[in-house]
Amino acid sequence: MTIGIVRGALAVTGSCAAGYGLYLVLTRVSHPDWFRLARWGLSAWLINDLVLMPISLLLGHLVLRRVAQRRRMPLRIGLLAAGSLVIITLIAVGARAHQKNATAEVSPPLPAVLITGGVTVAVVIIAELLQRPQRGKGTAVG
Amino acid sequence: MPSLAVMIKWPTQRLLRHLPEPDTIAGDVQTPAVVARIGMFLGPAFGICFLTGLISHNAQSDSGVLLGPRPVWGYRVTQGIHVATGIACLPLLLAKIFAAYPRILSRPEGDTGKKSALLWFAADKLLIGVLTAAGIVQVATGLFNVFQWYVFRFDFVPVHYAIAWIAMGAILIHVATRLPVITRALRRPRAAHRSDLPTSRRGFIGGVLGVAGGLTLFSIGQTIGPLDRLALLAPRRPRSVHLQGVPVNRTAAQAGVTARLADWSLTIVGPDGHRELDRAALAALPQTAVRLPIACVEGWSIGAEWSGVRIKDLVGLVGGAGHDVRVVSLERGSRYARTILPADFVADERSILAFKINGEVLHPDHGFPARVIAPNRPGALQTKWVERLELL
Repeated sequence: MTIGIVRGALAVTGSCAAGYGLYLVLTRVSHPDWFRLARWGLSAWLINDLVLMPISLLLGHLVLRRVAQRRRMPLRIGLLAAGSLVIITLIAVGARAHQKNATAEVSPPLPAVLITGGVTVAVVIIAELLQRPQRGKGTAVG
Repeated sequence: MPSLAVMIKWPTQRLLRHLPEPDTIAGDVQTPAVVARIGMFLGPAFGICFLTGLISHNAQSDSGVLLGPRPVWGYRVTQGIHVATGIACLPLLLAKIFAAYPRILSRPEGDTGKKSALLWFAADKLLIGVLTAAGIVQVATGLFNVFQWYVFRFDFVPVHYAIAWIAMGAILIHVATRLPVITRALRRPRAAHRSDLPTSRRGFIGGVLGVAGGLTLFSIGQTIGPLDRLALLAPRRPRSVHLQGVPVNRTAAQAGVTARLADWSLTIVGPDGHRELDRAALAALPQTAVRLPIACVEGWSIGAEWSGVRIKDLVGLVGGAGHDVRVVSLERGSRYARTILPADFVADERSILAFKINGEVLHPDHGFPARVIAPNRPGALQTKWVERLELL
């Protein structure tokens, strides 16, 4: 009963919020921007569902399958950290290339990515070393 | 001639027969328990971003009511949290999508012959699609915006605001539809599920939180001064940029005002008429110095000493008190070329028209000859190159 009330309240609140967002898109966002926004939304969805995630699954099956169970977690987390750093670095590189005014330039990304990448590698290695070996390989990877 | 229903149903069933079941492709961390636990962090993170984003949007609105001039650090804190949490959302979102991804192959539950079951299934898939797209668009465009690379080419402010509502709404509906699964996943004794895997699941969740925490640690220094040296991933490290000790987002050249700075004068319009003051006349008025932070919507903030004339003294010259003031910049065509300074900010002793920063005459990129500095205002509203004040 209580969970039903909570679900109902969440659904109604969520529908109102999403509906208001849609109203804002229709009334506050210019018509040309509708198409740019739709292109971004569709691209985000398609690239994620049809490219990035299938590749990550494939990597999991091709690579993690050959890796000992205890090493999978540091590898996964290392890849997640590397992916996040790559995204931020690419944006920083593009932003610097795009910015033509020296006083408004963003910080240089190379030292940032080298240091934070180094920290990530160090943390992954330490985590891997600290993990106690576990018996059993598990059935699935990914 | 087969009916439309048969034409859809037959290939769908053939396709489903050849697609693997979610559980056959799911890895050891792609379980409902992991998805639910990462969601317990991603949901609140989005919620914090949403609420602090509402504060920022409100502060930038002419009819905004949430922010007053006190506390002076208010916007600095809320916008710092907004950007830091947004950056932390990046690995959380990637991990959540990764952990839930095999569910993309889930089949309709119950009697698949019933239209209602298929409709619910389609609606759920649509909701997940909207949630995924909205989440990625929000985090991605937010990151592009803090680096001031407007590659998306749409007007960021209304789009980011509208999609925030859609994303938040989709999250709430998603939680409503998944609540039984979530509660089951969170209650289920871990050992009973897969005896050898809880460690890897805990490790994965801990690792994801570690990455989110690491990104925050390496960027939050743009808001928290003592951590400045660690802010390697922040687009601007305030204390390592030395144009009069404060970073610049928009230069005089970008604003197209450079040629008009030499013959500048300030016009003030109010109930008692109007006054035109050149730099010498302004220098003859009582000067004051205030120490205030400038807090940018892109997340960085830094305190500086600003010197100039109190806004309330300036508007007092034309019989103004208790009025909002329209601040007009030399810049043309920008969203922030004309801003409103509400009456309570005008009345505040610390709201000034600044001519100096940290003891030096303002650099043109900092708003020479005059810019507004008021407490607890978004940096975008600390109007630069001010040429006119109009009492409303």
